[in-house]
Amino acid sequence: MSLLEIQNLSVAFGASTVVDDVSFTIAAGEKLAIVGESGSGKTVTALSLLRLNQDARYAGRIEFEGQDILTRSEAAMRAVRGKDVAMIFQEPMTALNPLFTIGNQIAEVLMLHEGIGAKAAALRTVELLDKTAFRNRRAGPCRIRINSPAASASAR
Amino acid sequence: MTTLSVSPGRRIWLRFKENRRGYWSLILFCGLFGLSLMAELLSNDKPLVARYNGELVFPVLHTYSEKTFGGDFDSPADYLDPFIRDQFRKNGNWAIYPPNTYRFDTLNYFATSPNPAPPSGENWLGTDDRGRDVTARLLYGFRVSVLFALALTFTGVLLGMVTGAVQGYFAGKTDLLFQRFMEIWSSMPELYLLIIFASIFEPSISLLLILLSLFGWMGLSDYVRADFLRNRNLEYVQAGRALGLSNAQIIWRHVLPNSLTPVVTFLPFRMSGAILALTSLDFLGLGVPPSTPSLGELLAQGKNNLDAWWIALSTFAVLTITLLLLTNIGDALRNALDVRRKA
Repeated sequence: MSLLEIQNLSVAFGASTVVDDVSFTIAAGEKLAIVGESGSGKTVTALSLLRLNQDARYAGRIEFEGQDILTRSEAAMRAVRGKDVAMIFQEPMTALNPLFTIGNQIAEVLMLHEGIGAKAAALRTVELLDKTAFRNRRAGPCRIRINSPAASASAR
Repeated sequence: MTTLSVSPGRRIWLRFKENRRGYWSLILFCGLFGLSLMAELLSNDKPLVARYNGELVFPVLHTYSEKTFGGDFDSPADYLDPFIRDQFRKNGNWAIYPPNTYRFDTLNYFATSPNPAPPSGENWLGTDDRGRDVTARLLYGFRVSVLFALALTFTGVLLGMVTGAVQGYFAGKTDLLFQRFMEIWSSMPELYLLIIFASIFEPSISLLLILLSLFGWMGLSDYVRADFLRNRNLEYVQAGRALGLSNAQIIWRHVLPNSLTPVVTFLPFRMSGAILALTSLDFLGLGVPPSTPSLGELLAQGKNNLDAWWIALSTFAVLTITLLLLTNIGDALRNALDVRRKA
């Protein structure tokens, strides 16, 4: 039984179809890289897994742990996002809110998905940052590694 | 290493403090406002505390009848009456008067010079044409103006932020419809509405506040909307969505704090605008009810009594200083929030 199953996925914005008839499966523990030219639909495919494309029309099926992603309610999707499926954005400088500290933003996810208080979340955040051997909180080049604990903070 | 861990909010405050003019303007303005909040203790026609025949009395808090202090009538005591003053000087009695012994509506029936009276030891800035102390009226009028400006700024900012945020964040049809609504709303003749309502309803500060708030939010709404339209497409908003945050959480925690620059920058200017609006409406007689102390009403009196230079001059000075302080604060705030200056 595969963890993620995508069958004949098509994503269209207005008149143009951006992703056309894509199918693949990923089993637990398996890694998959999608490679292609820019504009070939990699990002849109990835965003579709969390239904994050705005004003998009989907066709086909996306099944995660046997449940259909495309027919879920918006509230049910929010419970999946960041908890079961996480995302690491490619541009770390803009994927973090410039007004809050990194710890703040990791703790936010923990509080949201694990239902723990601010204090417990702060402790857990420090733990996670230690795990990724990240101490200096404003070093630029390392920001992408901050995105990963933020994304994996709650993902199992 | 300590400079590295300065939080963004603190950095803005430090940059604000760097601007000496703005910093001292803020302190001076807060000081003046604080003093005006204590106006009852600084400028009042009743003693703060007094001792009469072995008993402590607090005329500021309680109303005592004239009989209490050996007068003839059962009416509230007039503490400026030379007779009552004498009573407090007799055998062990005393009374501590506020520094300025007039309230904004005190009529001194025992004044020696005709009204309007020029500045003297009795009335530091003279009296107006009804014999009321100008210093007291300025103090209370300043308080009314600032409180009104604070309330108007608060409602305007709140409405502007909410409408701007909704338009900018949801964009598309919501934005389109709301923009058309605003175009219609903003073409309503505000001043004529004010004049009409002033003649229908009893003029009051709250009515004025509601009317001015109904139209005051639109300018700010445009700025907040523009910032939201820009920020909604940034990656951390998308990242927030990918982490399972709801629209409300994203707006409140991530987009709004990043769209506050126009809101904060305009705060002092909105306040000075509100003070000016109230003053000009009062000047025209469309503002607060006649009994309320107001700078605009004092200006109108100054215009009608050009020979009584002390009325117009002192009111003009208070207005200018207030607006200047607010402009200085706004200038410093704008500089402190300007990210481009950082490099």
